[in-house]
Amino acid sequence: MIWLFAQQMVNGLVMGSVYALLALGLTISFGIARVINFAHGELYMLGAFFTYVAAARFGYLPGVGISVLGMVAIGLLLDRLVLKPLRKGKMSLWAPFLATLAVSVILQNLAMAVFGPDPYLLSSPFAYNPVIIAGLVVTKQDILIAGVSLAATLLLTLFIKKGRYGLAMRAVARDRQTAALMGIGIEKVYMLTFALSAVLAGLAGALVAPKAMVDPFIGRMALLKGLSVVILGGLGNIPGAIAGGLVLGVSEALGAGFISAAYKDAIGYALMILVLLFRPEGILGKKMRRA
Amino acid sequence: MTRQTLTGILLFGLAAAVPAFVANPFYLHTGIALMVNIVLALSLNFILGYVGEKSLGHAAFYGIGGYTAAILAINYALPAWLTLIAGAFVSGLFGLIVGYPSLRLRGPYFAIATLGFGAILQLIATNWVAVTKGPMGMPGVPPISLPNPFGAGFVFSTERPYYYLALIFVALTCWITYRLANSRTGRAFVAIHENVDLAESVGIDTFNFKMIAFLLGTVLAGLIGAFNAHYTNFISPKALEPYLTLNAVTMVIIGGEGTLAGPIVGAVLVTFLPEVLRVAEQYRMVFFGLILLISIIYAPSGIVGLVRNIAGRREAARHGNAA
Repeated sequence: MIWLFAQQMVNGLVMGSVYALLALGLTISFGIARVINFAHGELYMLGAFFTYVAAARFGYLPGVGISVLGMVAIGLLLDRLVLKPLRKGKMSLWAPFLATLAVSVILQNLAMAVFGPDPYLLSSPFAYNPVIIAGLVVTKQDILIAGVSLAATLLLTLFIKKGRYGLAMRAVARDRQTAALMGIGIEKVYMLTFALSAVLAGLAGALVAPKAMVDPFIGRMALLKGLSVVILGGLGNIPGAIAGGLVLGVSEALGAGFISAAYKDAIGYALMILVLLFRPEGILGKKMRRA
Repeated sequence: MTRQTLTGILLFGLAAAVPAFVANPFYLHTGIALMVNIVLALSLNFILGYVGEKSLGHAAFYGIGGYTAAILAINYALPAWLTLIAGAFVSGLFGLIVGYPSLRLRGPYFAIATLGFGAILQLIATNWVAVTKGPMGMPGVPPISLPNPFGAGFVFSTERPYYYLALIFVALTCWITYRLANSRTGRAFVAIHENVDLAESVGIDTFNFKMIAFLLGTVLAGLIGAFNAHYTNFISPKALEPYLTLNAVTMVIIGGEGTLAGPIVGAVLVTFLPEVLRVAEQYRMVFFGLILLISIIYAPSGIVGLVRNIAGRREAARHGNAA
């Protein structure tokens, strides 16, 4: 019993760090550009497929690197082609929201037309030969996932807290017009934001793919998980996204181990709805003014 | 009689005359599919178009209606008039359960909550095997039959009676939309859409009106879901899929939200455009996505809005010349 608990905690923390990566991307695009990106799940899916294609030629780790470069391009395209035309005039939440929904349909079905509906297995040299630490089973892939997620999270936090561009991003998040008046190139900030957001989503996809299968529809679930986490942690809140990711990962793993594996996914949605109803600012968020 | 009512009656007359001239069951089938889409789009339009709440779980209510009708008809052999009403009622009940907490949320939070509720309902439909028969769905939903106290009932065995019943549902939905748009309630809806805080400040109980719109939308979605389960003799968790919600959203947006004609135009386009343009099956959804995207960027008020704009400009030009 205790062993099962500990093992599920470990599994939960690994998945949780992936959820945190997914949620970080969503939360910066909301916090900085006021866009709830409904195509975020498809960015995750593309990251996994890019890695799959590149890994077939160059191996897994170089494949992940190539996929990250691809995601930079996708993020920039998303911003330039879809979101920039919507930024004219009054910033409405609704237009980008619907537009990203449309992008999600387009990407999902393009992937479907290219790769077909069947799942692919992305093989990673780290996914086999589990190591046993204190009686708990972990694969090297799990360690890689946790390590890369941790590193990416730390780098992002440093970048936003300390860097010159991070300062610009925070300024735009606070007040876009004043930031523009202060001479910040806000278009550049948006491009940077979506490139980063896409890289984070793609990285999550590339890391999880060897543990799960890759198919054109994995993004749907990824989006829902990411949104649940973002809601748990508070929209636009970076530490919240990290904490929320770990909370969701652990509660799902414990739920699957002790309650019901079939309804594992419902736990996340139920948590999300409860937080929405009782604490919409998120578990770590400051009390909001009623918006 | 206004021009609008006249056009409406004329269109319904034409639609009612179609089966007299068209014998091919495939065309009638397409007509029924179109009308199911029209009712679904108009039902979402109350929520999305009139009060402007971005519901992303609409397909769930369509599916609940279908499952309710299927379970009652298969397990309890209830007559179709009752299962249709029950489908609408149970869907509305879930609308109450989902809407009551969610409608207190604003903007994106409401959309995310409905997305979550939709996902949970689909999980239940997939996993509650004892009731829903699980992911394979429930085949053998009996066809609709009308009771006859003096003898054998009239069983809907061809497309034609379904066509007329669907037409009645379309007429009903259009009538409700039309009456609503020109009522106090409809004006309150529009006020909420324009500016919630302002609407609240002039004494409109915004939560109540949102609830009315949400219930209306979910009841009608449940009704047409129940109808479709009987018509196709089948229901599965696919009926609750997010892509169906997206189809409905696309119809409402490209046609023009918050109008009567918009969602109908949208439904016609979504149903026929891929056929007319001969879009290959696997690119169909890509095509819808592109249309939706282009519409959002270049014509946010939809085709109806675009036409009105052009008509308005002509009118203005004419007045300008006269002056």
